[in-house]
Amino acid sequence: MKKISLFVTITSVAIVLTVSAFVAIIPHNANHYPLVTELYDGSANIVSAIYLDFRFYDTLFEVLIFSIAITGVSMYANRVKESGKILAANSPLIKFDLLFLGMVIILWGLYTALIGHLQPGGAFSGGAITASGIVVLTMAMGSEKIHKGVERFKLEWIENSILIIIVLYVIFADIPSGFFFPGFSVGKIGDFFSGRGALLLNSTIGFKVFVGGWLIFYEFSKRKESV
Amino acid sequence: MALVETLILAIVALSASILFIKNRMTIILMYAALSTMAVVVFSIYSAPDVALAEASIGLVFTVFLYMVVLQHKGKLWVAFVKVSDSIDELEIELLSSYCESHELELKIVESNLEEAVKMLERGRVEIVAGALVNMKNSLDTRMTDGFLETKILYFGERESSKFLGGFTSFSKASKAFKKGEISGFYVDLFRYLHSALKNHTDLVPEYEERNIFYSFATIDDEPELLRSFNMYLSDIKKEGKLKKIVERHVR
Amino acid sequence: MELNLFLSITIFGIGIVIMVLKRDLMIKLIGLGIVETAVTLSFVIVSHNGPLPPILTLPIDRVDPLPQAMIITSIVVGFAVLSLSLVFVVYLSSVYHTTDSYKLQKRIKKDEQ
Repeated sequence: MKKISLFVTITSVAIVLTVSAFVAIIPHNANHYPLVTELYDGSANIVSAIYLDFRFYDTLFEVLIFSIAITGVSMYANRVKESGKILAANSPLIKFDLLFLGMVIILWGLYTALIGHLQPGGAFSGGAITASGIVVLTMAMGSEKIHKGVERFKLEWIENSILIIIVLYVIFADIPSGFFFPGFSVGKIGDFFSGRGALLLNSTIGFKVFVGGWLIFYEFSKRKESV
Repeated sequence: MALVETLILAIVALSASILFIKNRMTIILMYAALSTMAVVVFSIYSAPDVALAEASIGLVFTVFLYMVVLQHKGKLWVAFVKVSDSIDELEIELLSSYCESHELELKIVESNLEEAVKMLERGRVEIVAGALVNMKNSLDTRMTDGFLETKILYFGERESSKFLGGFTSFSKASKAFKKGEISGFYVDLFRYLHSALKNHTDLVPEYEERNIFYSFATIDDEPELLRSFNMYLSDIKKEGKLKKIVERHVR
Repeated sequence: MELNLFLSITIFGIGIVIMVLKRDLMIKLIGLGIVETAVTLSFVIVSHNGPLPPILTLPIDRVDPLPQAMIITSIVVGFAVLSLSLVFVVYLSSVYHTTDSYKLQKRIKKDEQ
C-alpha cells in the first residue's frame, strides 16, 4: 500500500513537472487596478485596496473562517484533560527586557495594522505581530497572569462581536463617501484619512486577528499535553 | 537574479532533507529556516505585503504554536494492578527510576488486570505493571525482561488450567476450585503468598514451575519502548542497582 | 518556462511526498505548510512583471497586485487550518498517547470494537 501511494505521488508530481515545463506564461498585467484604485479607492497600497475594497467578500469569508477555527480550537482544547502553565522568567533583567520587547512589538503591530493602506502591512500581519507581542509578554510574566486577561476582557465575545461591525460595513459600504466620517472618503492619496473604509477595516480586522491569535495561544498553552 | 535562484534551491534542499530526519524539533527549526528564505524571496520579488504576512503569521506564530505544543516533558502512562505492598513498591520504584533516567513523567492509572490489558491494547496506557510473569501464554502483548525471579504454582489439572482460572483474585479462584467450577488454575508466588497469609488457605500446590520472572507488559506496536526498557534493566543489573532495590523491598 | 517557477513546483511536490511518506501527524502538517509556501512562491513569481512593489506613490513599473492580494488570504486561511488541525492532533495524542498515523488507526479500530 505504501509503495503504491509513493508511486502514484511521485508519478503525478513528475507529470505535473513535465507538463509545466512546456507551459508558457501569458504576459499579463491587471493594469486597471492602479487606475481604479486611484479613482475610486484612494489607498496608496494597491494590494490593501484590493482586499479591503474591490474583493472585500474574500476577506469577509476569510475572517469568518478564522473565527470558526478559533471556536473549534477552544471547543477541542476543552476536551484535553490536563492543564498547565508557562513559568515566568527567573532573572529580573531578562524579565524587564522581555516586557520592554513585548511592549515595543505590540506598538509595532498596531502601527503596521493602522498604516496598512499607505505602506506594506495591513490588518492580518499587524494583528499577528501584536499577538506575537503577547507571546513575548507571556514569557516575561508567566501564563497565569497574562491569561487572566482572556477571562477579564471576555475576549471570545469581543472577537465575535467584531464580525457584526464588519457585516454592518458590508451593508453600508456603498453609501456616498464621507457619510459617516472623513475616513470613508476617497481622499488624497497618501493621506492618513484616505482609502474609504481602510482605516476602520484595518483597525477592526487587525484587532480581531490579534484577539484570535491570543485566544489560540491561550488555548494551546493552557492545555499541557505531551505529543 | 542569481541570489533568488540560490535561495529557492536552498528551499528545495531543506524541504527534501526533512524527508530523512526523524527528530520533530529539528524539523520545525528547518521549517522556520525554509520560511525565512521564502520571506527573503518574496521581498526580492517586490511583494512586501506577502512577505510581511508570511513572516508574522506563517513563520513566527506558526513556530510559536509548534513550540508550545512540543515543549513539555514526555509521559509514561502505566496501568497499575495492586497485588501486595512489597512488590507494588518495588515496581513503582523501578518505573520511576526509569522515568528519571529517560526524562519522562510517570502517570499511573490504577485498575484490575482485565481492564489494564484492554487499556494496553487500545493505547490508553503504554505499560502494565502488576506482578505479571513472562510466560508464553500469560498475555498477548510483549513482555519486557524479568526483574525478579519467582515460581508458578499449579493447582488441579495442569493442562487445562488458566491464570487464576479467569478470576480476579486468588481467594475467589480457590473458592471456585473447591466448589469444582474450574478444574485447575495456576498462580504466581506473590499472589499466593499475599492471599495465603491473610486467609490461611489449605490448598497445596501440586506442581511448581521455576525459572519464571516478573516483568512488565508493553504495548505491541512500540518496539522502541520495549528495547529502551530492556536496555535500562540490563544496565542496572550490571551496576548492581537492581539487587539493592529488590533487597530493599522483598525479603 | 522560468526556472524559479519550476523549482517552486518541485517544492510543492516534495511537500506532497512528505505528507504521504511521513507517518507522524505533526510532520504531515509541516508538509502541508511547505506546500502552502510553494503555492505562495509560485503566485509571487507569476505576479512579478515589473521591478517595483504595488504602491501608488511609486513610478509606473509595478508588479501585478491581484495575485498578491489573493495569496495573503491563503496565508491566513492556512494558519487557521493549521491551528485547528493541531488541536485535533493534541486531542488524539492525549487519548491514544501517539501521533503516529498507523498506530492511531490500529488503536482507534480496536477502540471501536
